[in-house]
Amino acid sequence: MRVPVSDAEHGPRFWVGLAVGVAVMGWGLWLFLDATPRFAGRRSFVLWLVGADVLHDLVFAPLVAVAAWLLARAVPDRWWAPVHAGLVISGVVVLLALLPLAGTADPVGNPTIQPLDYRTATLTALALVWAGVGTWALVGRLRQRSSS
Amino acid sequence: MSTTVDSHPRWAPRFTSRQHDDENAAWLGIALGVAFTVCFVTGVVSHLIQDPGSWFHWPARPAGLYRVNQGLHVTTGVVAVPLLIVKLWVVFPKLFEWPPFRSVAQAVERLALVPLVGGAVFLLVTGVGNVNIWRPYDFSFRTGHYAAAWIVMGALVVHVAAKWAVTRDVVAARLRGQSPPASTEAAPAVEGERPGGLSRRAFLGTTAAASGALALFTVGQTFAPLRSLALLAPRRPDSGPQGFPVNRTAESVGLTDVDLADYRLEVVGDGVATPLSLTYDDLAAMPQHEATLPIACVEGWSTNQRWQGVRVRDLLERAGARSGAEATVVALHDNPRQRTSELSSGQASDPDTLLALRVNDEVLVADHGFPARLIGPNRPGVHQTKWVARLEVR
Repeated sequence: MRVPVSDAEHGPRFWVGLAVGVAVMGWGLWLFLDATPRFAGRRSFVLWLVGADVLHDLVFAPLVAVAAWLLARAVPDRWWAPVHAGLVISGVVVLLALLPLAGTADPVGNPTIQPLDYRTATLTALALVWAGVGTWALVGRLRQRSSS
Repeated sequence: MSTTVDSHPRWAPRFTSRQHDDENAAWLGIALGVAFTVCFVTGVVSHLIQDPGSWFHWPARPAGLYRVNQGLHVTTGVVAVPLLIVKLWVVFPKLFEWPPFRSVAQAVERLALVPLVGGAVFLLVTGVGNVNIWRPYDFSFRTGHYAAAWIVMGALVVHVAAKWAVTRDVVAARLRGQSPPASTEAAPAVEGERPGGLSRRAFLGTTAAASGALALFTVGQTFAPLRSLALLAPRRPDSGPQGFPVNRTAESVGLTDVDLADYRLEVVGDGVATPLSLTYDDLAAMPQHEATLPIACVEGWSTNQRWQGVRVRDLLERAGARSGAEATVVALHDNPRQRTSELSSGQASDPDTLLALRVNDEVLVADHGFPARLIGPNRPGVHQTKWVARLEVR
């Protein structure tokens, strides 16, 4: 069976990597602190760095997991594979569309930023995704049928 | 190594998908490692161009190099979004491993995951946010994004050092045409898994398709043939006054209505023998040249246009500048952001470096820098100074 975490990956290579990596991380941190003397700026940076990790692990990932679990039960087994694939792709498409959909560039007064109607644009992108996934599923089915 | 059910405490969630395994983690890790390295290298290059040390020299040629650099940086970052999400999902059960560490080395290794994961998410979120003018934090985007890139690369070195062996084993086994030892493909499905799920190939293929879809829906902001598919990009290269986008508007610097009666272009400084003060008509009467050059924004969009105007080197020659002169280009406005830019001697003497008066045979509109703007090969958009008032030659 599978082996649990071992110390095999913590040999000399790891310690050398650790020394180099910590030095590079330190350089990055110094770059930020040197350019940002204000406490508020430093606090904001640390909050964002650690917050990104915490929000992903405690909010984003569990929410996606629960949503996927519920959806998986709503879809028949024979359709789950293509639907699963389509949902993954749709998910990242919607994620990337969120800021344009929210019109985050509106206050700038520059109509060449986010120039489209992003509801139409996002729906068009999703339609293209599902057309692709549908084609893939159909080709798979046809191949399966012809080979059996 | 693999997550096993017995290393989980009772309170931890049960993960029933067989996709949570070392082989998926390895392949996605390799892809992410490549993506983040490409982003890092192109990002450092871009940073140095905007803030060069004395040792750094950015050439005037090839004319489209900066455009490719930024297109690569932004597109690779976008492509990394699904890779990172899926990778974190594949290894998510490890978060609940118990005990959390069995050795000092393992404790240190897992601790380094905080800057790695937090920093990677940070880079992608702030990067996508920045191009969408969403910056809800209290530091400079450029400083934060650049510093975090170094932090992530450092954490990545630690991670790669820790995961080298397991990743190498997976790749080596596949290259030999075998299933890796810890692979689930040969193993029976995990208990509780629903039937009809994606195979490994389809799972990784889906991730690649997700990355491909995001690339397809954004790359048209810099790659003109795909512009009609740029559905999720914050810019369209064909959308804006005179047919292309604007970064800094004339309104934001109060230059919507420059009076040509008052306008003078000055060529001054220690480097010239006879300082010039030229009216718009003087400029228009000088020999006009045409150059097809990209406007390439640090934010990843770019567009080729046909520019017409006076060669900077002709202006310098007329002012009696020494050969090899360098110049600072100064705009009409007082806003410290993008008020000046530097022309190296290579840039200043390049035959395609123009003080453009027209674009695509039309007089520039205010948003594109009327009365005159700088346009030169291989320069970031923020250095293509608009509303030029002065060349300070040295």
